[in-house]
Amino acid sequence: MAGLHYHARQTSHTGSYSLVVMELNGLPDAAVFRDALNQISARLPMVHGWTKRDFRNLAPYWHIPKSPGRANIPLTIVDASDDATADRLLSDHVNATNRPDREHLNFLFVRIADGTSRIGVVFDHRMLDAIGAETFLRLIDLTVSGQLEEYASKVKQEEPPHLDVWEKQFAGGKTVFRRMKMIGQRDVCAMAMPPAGRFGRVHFAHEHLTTAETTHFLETASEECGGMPIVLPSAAARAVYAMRAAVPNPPLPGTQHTLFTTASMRTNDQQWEQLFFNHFSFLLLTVGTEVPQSLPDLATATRDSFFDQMKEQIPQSLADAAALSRVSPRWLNQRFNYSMFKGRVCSLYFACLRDGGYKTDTFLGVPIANLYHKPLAFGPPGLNLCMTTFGGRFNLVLSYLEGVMNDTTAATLMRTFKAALLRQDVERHDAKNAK
Amino acid sequence: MTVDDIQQILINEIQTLLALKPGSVTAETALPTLGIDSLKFVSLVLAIEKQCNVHLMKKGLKPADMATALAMATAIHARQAE
Repeated sequence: MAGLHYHARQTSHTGSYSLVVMELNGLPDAAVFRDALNQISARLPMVHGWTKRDFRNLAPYWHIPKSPGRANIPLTIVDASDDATADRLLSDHVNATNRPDREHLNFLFVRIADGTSRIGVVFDHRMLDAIGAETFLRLIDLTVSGQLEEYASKVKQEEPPHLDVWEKQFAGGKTVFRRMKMIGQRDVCAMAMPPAGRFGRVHFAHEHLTTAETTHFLETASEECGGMPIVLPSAAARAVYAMRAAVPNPPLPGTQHTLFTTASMRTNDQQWEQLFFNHFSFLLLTVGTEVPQSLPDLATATRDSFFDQMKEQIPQSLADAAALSRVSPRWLNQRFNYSMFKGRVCSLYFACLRDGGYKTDTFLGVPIANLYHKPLAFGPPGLNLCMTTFGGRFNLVLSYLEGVMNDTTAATLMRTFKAALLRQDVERHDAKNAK
Repeated sequence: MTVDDIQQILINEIQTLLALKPGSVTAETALPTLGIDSLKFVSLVLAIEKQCNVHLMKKGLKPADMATALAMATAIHARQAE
């Protein structure tokens, strides 16, 4: 993840930071909130740690200070007149530049005039992943109810150096290299990146499905995968559908759309043990431009790509290969990845998470209206489409780098994506295309 | 291969995939409550395909087939016979 941070710093002006937003139907007590953060800060000083590299064995590691000292987890309280202002404040919060390298969490508590509030947490992907960030919010809630020790004692603050099982890691690297080479034989359709050094803010477009709509989509996805409870390929197919509809003539044309898709490597019963660090790997789903623009065809193509890569165990191989690449210089890894895909890498980063880390419906005693992520977007391609679940419904968020896509195109993409998930208008469009 | 054999393979694979203790999954455990995501489910299907010599991805399963390990084992046994 230090490699990701390095890359994100080079290709966006923020770094590997994402935002998780909690919308609350009320105002939690700010003093109680502050106190809970201080308790966690003292109990888990690793939240103030930093990455170091051991020059004897080249292994990067997370340095944990013996005590937090005077360091606190930042919490800023601001007032907003309405939801739009709150959204803008949260967007500014995650787009802050020159964030200190040892700051991995930063909270913004927005009190809205109508009595509701929003909590935005900027988190560093070197220390937490999306599920970990939600779990950290849950830890705050448990701290207030006096259960910090019970849960903090389960949290693992160390990761092995991964400087063993070299054969497995090389085998993983070989599998991934073969797959990347295969994908790299065809040009990837992508958006053009702004000139180097001119990276702007990350913008966000947000939609959500209702509980009934989410259930409807899950049933459709299952049907498309032969009745099996598999969602990812169907969701990815709709992302490709929306991308093609919103950007019919991509600035960097190619013969395939490639989705860099997150794959959770967590084990179900270890939510607390795996609170820190990143437990995601990736799949590289591909859909050729020759596949017709119809949902059944795209769903079949993404499903086949998904099954092929699962048979090859790409997520595990990539995790192994990543452990291997930790000892090589970051600039070298970056150059290697660029050269494989001729500088394009993928058309879109995509995530579809059906499971979250926050499974109760209150925070500090206040009911939660919604919880969603505004993820990082670095280049290439400067686009990240993320589906997360809270309260049995999907939130859909597109993050896009300024200069990569304009607001109108982003809105079209999101509208089409949502319609495709619900199959609204899409069947009519497919029928029109067939004529 | 009998339904019982397939059921045992299924139970072992599910316990391994989800890092559950032996004995925590039984023939009657409701599989949807275990939180098997898309990736883990495909890994399960691939393991079953390999061990039971059946192409589940091509032949598919019905949602009811995945209610319990017993229901799934029965469905896989039927697919083997096709």
